[in-house]
Amino acid sequence: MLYCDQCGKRIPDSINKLEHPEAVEPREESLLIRTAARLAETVPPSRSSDVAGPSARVAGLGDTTAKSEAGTITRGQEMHRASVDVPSSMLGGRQRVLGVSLVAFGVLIAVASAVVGAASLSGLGLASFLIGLLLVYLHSRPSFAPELVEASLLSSLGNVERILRELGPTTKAIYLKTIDRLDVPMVFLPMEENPAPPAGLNLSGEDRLLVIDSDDSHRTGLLLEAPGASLLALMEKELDLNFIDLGNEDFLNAIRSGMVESLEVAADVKGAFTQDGVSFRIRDGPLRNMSRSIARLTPNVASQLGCPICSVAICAAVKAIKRDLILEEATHQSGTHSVTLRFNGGSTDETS
Amino acid sequence: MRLVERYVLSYALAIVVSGLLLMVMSIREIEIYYAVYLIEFLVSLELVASFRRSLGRNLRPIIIVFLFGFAYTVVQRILQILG
Repeated sequence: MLYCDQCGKRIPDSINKLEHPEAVEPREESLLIRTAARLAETVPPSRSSDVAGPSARVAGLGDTTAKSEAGTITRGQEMHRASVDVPSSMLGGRQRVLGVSLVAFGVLIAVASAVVGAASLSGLGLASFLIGLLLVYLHSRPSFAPELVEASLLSSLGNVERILRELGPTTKAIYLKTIDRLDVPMVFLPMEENPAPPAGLNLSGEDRLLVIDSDDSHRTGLLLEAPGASLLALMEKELDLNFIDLGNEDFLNAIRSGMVESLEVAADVKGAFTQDGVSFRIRDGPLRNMSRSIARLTPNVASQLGCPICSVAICAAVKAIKRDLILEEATHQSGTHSVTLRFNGGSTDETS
Repeated sequence: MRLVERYVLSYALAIVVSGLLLMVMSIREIEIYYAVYLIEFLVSLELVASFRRSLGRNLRPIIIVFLFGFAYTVVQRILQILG
């Protein structure tokens, strides 16, 4: 048992491992994966030449992977090889062509109706013109491929994954309740085995990654911003509401509207509110490849904290229910996420 | 289908149907067509914008253009009446 030189408090074993790397169990540095061989079968080399623009670069990445032999690569290398699917960016070009055609058609009809003297025809010409204008304008707004979102996210999550692996907390994450409307949802991972943490953790004043409290081992652990916190903020902005204002009955519908209609990160969200906790079943939408990559490349993040998509739903629930929630289970199967949450400190009846 | 695509499709369907209806009713004034299309645009946008506020903000320039067009037709009609 070790004690701090300055304050004399006990240092938990898991923190000690950080300072003494030799205390950490040796982890596998390299992973034998056969992704390359599989990609060679699924992504033919000629595919990249069919796609123009930014998509071609992504396909090119796949080709490189496909040409290489199956061998020993590190986890980091596997991260960079994650995105090989070709985005369907051709739709945007078609939309613009259709818009311009409709504008031209509308102008032609308007001119023709003026020449012929059929005033009622100009109404249809105007309709065509307006739809065309809308299509051209909407096309001019930037839109991003799901592959880009995946690529920008994986490195950050990879770092969190490394922190979780190095520190090795195998405890269940606690999503902390938010008190203020502007509070960022936080998630706490206790360092020590902690099957029943106390109801009032009260970590709202903490602004550290590593929270160490030798007096109370329940309060020692990792304090992270929830992976879905930023997505939740965006969802609230799009829906023009704050989940803290919603009741237990309304928040499930709001989560569904936000995730399916506003953010379009899921195809369907089903939630159930029980006395013991909340459970969600989320069906993947356009970001299904990202979810698959996160579950495969950052398994600790996905199972202990929840992937960003699961985490949005959890953060929204925590904000609406205004209680700490323990993430009992987060499973990611093909195209679906299942999340089970339990109230920290007992069921609704016990606490009320 | 994405929300924006659904919005454009439903608006296109609405103005084609209303345009045909106005044609069947033998309405010849382009201002009436324009006003009906503008109302449909604003109503459908309001329905969609409840899910996505950013769409409403993004389409604000289009709304302004449409409203300027409407103001132009109204001013023209007033001048016609006065003249």
